[in-house]
Amino acid sequence: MSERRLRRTIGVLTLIGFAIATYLTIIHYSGDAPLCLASGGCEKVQSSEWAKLFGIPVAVIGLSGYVLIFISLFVPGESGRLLTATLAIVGFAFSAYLTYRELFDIKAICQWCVGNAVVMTVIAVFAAWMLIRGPDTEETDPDLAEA
Amino acid sequence: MSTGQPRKTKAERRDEAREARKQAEQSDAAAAAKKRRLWQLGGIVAIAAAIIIAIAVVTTSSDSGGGTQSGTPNGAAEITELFKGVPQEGLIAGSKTAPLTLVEFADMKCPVCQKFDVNAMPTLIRKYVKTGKLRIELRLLHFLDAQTPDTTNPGDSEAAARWVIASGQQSLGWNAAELFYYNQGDEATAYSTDSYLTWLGTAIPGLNSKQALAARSNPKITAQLALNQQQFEANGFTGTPSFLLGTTGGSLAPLAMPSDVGDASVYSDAIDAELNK
Repeated sequence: MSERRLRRTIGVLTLIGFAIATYLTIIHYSGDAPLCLASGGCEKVQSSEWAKLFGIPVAVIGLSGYVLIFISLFVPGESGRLLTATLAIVGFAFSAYLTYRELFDIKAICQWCVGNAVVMTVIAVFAAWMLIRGPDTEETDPDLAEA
Repeated sequence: MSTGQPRKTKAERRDEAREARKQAEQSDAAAAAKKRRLWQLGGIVAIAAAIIIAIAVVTTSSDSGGGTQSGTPNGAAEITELFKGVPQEGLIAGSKTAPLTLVEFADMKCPVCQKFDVNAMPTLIRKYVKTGKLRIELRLLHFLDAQTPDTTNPGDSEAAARWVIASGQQSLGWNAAELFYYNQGDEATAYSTDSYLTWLGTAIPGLNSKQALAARSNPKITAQLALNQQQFEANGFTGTPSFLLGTTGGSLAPLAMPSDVGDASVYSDAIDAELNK
């Protein structure tokens, strides 16, 4: 897969994550209960003490993270790959930490948060792959071979 | 005997050797770059782990750091925002025309009450009180003074309750109660000192802290605390928090204690059921 295609894939995943985080941010400030398939898990998680970090709603932190990842995709070269991977892996670690809190402290699962964690995990995998594989070669990008 | 292949000239052999060397150098450079990138990835993973460990340590230590004066009290801005535009009268918050009333019997030093008031109550306020559907009333007790006496301040729970009720006289009682819960300390130690309550009070915009402290000894507050205790016992309650829910101005019925007091959805279900009657 070419770097361009990897960046596009991460971009699409970031937009999905951004949509989830936007919904959770709106729900947080409106005080409404999130639409939840299981009984009450989302509301319990959203109203828990872990829904904020240093007074900032974690949904807002997630939203900011997705914006930063999206912007990093436009930074070219190794700096861009390094920046995207750093943001994505920190985001993945934060999602993992929040999932741990859901399971062991809040003892409830919010599908929106799980969805967000899955998206962030996939982004982190692609970003790590993009970093390790390095710049495109003739083998990975047919356009380079043609040129 | 001929092999069928023309012998390579010296120049051709030199070109081949140069090409082989060039490929080996490129291969070495690619391997070195890949190794460098793997180190970068390792560094990123280490940074991410360090950030998460720091967050976990800070949030855990702030959990157990209640009851101490340090910087701005936890939740000060959030509580101010929460009660913005909510009418308060004594320890009753919400519109007089709200169809339902939820009464909470609580002790300011009770950790289970804290769990409810920090985790569930803000959601209920946003969802029902701010939308004019619910009035909330806090009736304070101080039974923990008898259960977990601290010789340095035997009336610590009562001191906190009196301060909250006194703040209610300035129509900021719920702000005071929530702020106290957000910064609640160990129930077995005494910390509701004048200095501590002043520290909390200065984080409540509009509260005259000196006036609230002075009003704590008001006989009306003594009578209010006694009445709350009577009502608590009359309803057959044995622990806090305990709740009454019903029509505003009408009859209120005890609300079954949920298995998880911090789960706002349990109360939402009960309130929704009453609203739909």
